[in-house]
Amino acid sequence: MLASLIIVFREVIEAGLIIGILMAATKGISGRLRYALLGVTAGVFGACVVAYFADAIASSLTGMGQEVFNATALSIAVVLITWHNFWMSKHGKDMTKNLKSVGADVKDGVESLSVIATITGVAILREGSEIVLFLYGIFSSGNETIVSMAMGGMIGLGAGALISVLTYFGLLRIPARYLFGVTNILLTFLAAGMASQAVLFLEQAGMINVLTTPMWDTSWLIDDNGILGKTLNIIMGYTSQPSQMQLTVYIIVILLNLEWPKILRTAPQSTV
Amino acid sequence: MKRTLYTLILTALIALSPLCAVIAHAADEKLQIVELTLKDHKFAPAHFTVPANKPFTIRLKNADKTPAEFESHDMKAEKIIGGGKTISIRIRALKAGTYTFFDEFNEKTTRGTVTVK
Repeated sequence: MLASLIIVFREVIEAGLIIGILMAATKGISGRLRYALLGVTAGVFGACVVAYFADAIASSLTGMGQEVFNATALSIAVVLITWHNFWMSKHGKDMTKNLKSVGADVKDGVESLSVIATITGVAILREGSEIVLFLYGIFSSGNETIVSMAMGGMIGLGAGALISVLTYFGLLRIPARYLFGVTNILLTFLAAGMASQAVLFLEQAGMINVLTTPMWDTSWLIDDNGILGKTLNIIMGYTSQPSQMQLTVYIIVILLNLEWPKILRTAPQSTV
Repeated sequence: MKRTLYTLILTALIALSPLCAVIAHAADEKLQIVELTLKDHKFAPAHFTVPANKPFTIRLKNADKTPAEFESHDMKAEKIIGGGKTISIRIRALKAGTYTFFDEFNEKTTRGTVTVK
């Protein structure tokens, strides 16, 4: 039971964090819970489909299909989070205003909500397919009974959901006028980390062959295998030996998310 | 409209980058291949040696019926392998030292090490 619990929990931490932050980042948009649940449902279903086709995916693209699949899923999440941050740069002010006057919901947030649902779905899809395969492995090896496996899995999932809830309510303690600023930064680092991980997958697939030399080695300071290293990896994509390409992409995504909306906002509005 | 257009172009570029990489995928260089087998949840060999500063490929055959996930934090590798399947894992050039790998689904017991020198 413990084995299922630990694995399931480890895989859902990231999705749990993302969902918690997204829910806080869309505070004040009506119907967001429904869209998030839609994303979760689609993600779980998709995870089962991906797990079922895992072998077919793995053997595609001369054996590197899995890496490309992971890189693509991560890239989609990066693009959508970036899109969300752009959207917030336009609507954030109104949303903050609405947060202060209780009850007034932003009604035109549907386009942002479908993005939220998709990010949630993709986050669950990737890690979820690993959970499905793992549980299937335990199940077919017969080392654990179905009951104990299901128990472990449920507790692990519950702990992941708890992370979402804690993240959400923790963020809501932030004063309303800073809330979206904070979620914006959190999502930016999350996206940058995902982008860097996508690069890593493409390097593993041998599809990125330039700038693959590690920039530095900080494993003496923060070990990738340690709890701190793993936590930082999830939150901001920490890796002790980022390649040059990973770092470049990381910085580009951060600039894109934090600076580009400002530039666009101050630019003269001719056609909008 | 202009902003939306910029955003669209930028996001499309990011989304397409893996695809471009696929197209740019050059023919595989000649890399040293290390053959590993996973049987009864043990790696065989559980230890091997490779030269430093040279990338290499691990060809892993899963002789078990259950899926596994080959993973290594310090070699930066992560790949799922189905029961009875064979996969290739590319490992980047490593500095001299000892590296560890494991099956993420049985992290405590299914482990191995690589000596790089």
